[in-house]
Amino acid sequence: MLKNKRIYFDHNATTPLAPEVKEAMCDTMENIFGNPSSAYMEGMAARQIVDRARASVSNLLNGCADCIIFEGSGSEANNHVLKSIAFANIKDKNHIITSLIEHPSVLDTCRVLEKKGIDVSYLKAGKSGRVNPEDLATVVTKKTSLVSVMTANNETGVIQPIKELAAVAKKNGVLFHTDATQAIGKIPVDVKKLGVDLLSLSAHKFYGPKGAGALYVRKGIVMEPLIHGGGQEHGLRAGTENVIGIAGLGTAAELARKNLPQMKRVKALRDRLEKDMHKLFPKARINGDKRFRLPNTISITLPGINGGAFVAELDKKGISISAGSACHAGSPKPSGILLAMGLTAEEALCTVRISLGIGNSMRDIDSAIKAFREIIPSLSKRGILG
Amino acid sequence: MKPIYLDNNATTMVADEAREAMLPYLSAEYGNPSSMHHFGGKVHRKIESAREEVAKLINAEPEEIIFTSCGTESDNTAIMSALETTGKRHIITTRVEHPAVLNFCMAQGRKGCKTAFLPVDKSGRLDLDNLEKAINDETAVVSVMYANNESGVIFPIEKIAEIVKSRGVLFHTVAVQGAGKIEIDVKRLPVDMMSLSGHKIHAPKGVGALYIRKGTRFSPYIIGGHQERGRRSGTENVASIVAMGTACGLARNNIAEEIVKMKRMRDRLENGLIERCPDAIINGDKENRLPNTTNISFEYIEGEAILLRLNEHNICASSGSACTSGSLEPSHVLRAMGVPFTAIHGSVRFSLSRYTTDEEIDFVLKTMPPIIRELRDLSPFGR
Repeated sequence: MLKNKRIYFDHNATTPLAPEVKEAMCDTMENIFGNPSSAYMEGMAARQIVDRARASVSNLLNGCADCIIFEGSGSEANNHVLKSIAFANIKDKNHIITSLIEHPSVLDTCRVLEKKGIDVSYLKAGKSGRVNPEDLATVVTKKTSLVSVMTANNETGVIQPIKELAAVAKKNGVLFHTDATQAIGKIPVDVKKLGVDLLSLSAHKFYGPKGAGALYVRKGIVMEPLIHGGGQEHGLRAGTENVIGIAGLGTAAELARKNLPQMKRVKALRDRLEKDMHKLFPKARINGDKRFRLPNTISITLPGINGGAFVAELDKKGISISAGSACHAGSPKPSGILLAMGLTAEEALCTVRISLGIGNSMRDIDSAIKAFREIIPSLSKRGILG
Repeated sequence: MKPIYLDNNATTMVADEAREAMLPYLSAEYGNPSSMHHFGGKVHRKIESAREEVAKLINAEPEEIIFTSCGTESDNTAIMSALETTGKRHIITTRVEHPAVLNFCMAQGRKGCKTAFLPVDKSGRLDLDNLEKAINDETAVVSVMYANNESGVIFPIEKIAEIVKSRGVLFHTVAVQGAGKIEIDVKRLPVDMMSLSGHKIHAPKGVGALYIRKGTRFSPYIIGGHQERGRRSGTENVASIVAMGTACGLARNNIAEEIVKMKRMRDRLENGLIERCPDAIINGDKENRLPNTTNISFEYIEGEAILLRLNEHNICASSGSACTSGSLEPSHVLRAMGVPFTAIHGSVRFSLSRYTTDEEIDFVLKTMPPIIRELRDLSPFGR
């Protein structure tokens, strides 16, 4: 297969830049070089770019422009929320709640917080891959300061009952944060409808650039910065603004709103691919509750086939998929998310993730099925150790 | 009309070469460097070659460099890592550091950390005896900038590092203003950690780096995925990292010539202004200064007024650091240096780059003296 004809099915890892985003970034790179904190024209021009992007992100989320802080990545935004809120009132409130299926930037940060005297409760997701709001109600206490549950899971695509979870948190006077990194651009995300207090997002998961993230902070919430220094971002995130990246994030946010209807087509492609994979491999099992899934994601267990070997063989045929999240790639350990859902280590190692995007076509699906058909017999012979 | 941009300590133009280098990573090469497939792997290798370029600029090894989102993040990361790994609660820094260090230390102060802020003299120099005396058993880290962003004064980092290391304490330096303007060699300099920023050396904003000497215990600041070998999480800002690699290569290639060229033009600007404008004082130690920076106080007038008038002629300079502009407080650096009241408000910083031309210097020399005369005529302080 030709190099430039590669089929990219790993949109939950990262996405290509939309042409409009690239244009906005190149335009900024060519014409705007001032420091947004400088008082002269060149600085003010850079400031305008940042402010315009802030308005675009707030429109996407139905927040307010004052509520958006730009950060260096989704991971940074998650670290910021957890550390800032967990330590804010540590004497009175030293308990936070999250789930076992969160991104490592949440889970690993929580492990560090535990070492520093914060109690952390981890909600289970079970076979459906969904956190149960009733479970939250039973673990929340007077000592709880924060609940953090992702909007949709990166590996299974399962959408979490955020509105219900946020309502439980609110009833108990606890702040609610959601990591919406995987949801933005794939399903509608409205901070008011969901009732969340804090929300993280990352540009490169919705056709924006890497290195640009944002945090929504509901008005009235007092937070410490994670990165201290100059007074940028209302004093909540120091460091000279990534103006080019922020310009890209703003444009990506506008497009995400506009292009949401396209996810219907992506869902049709995904459903077709799933159906064909079942025909090809009747023992295959889809992970997660099919009623509540991102329209682009498939997490599929192929009993008897090593997931890593499957990914490598497809890679040789010019198709990019993943055996888990990119953040775990390269590690031979089975996915913690799948284990938390009750899969055995063996089943988890036989699982791959396919995540489609708006650039994919029915022809990509047909080519992929053809490639699967070619590689499955030999992979079946090699077995689960690959 | 192209601005005459003499504010390169605030930020710099992205070099054409750096911009070119970024472009593929804004289109065809969009893979996630952490992905297992070949498509991501290629991007990963490009990050590694950028890491080599950054390392070479300061004569470090590639595995001693981690990429961050900015110099400020590097500073916060370095000092926090020292506190975490030593378990000690005392920091030593100077009164003239960048807000990234000062405000970080203040924030730690609210959590029970103590910080000693060392004073500087009229020329912006440190008294090394004060440093020696400030170090105690609880000292986790000493953080002293390589060169000051406002005055351009270069600290005797080699001597400072020797003192600090002889007491077994970690040493961090912010080299954001030094890198690319003076030669830095970590093999000869016993620093443990060093912060760098892309946008001060003709790479884009939103990328920085932290040098961590091999063998230094380290605790990550942003936790999560395994990026940067577990030392800094978050998907890498690929395009900007690639550009920073290219920018470091450019800086290294011509550094000796550029130092001479920038210094010659800076001196011409400085001497010309002093000759043509009475009651002008140069702030900072002239012997040990960045070759691109001059900070001049024009007594009895407001720096902001000078800048506005310069801006009308399309000349960009600054009255302090960009990070604190907009506030009417006089610069904390000049205050620490004891610049007199009549002069502190009238200070202007010019900072040149390799792209500054002699014509631009001529234009400033022609334009500025009449502005100073006019403003003095309006000044309530006379002259």
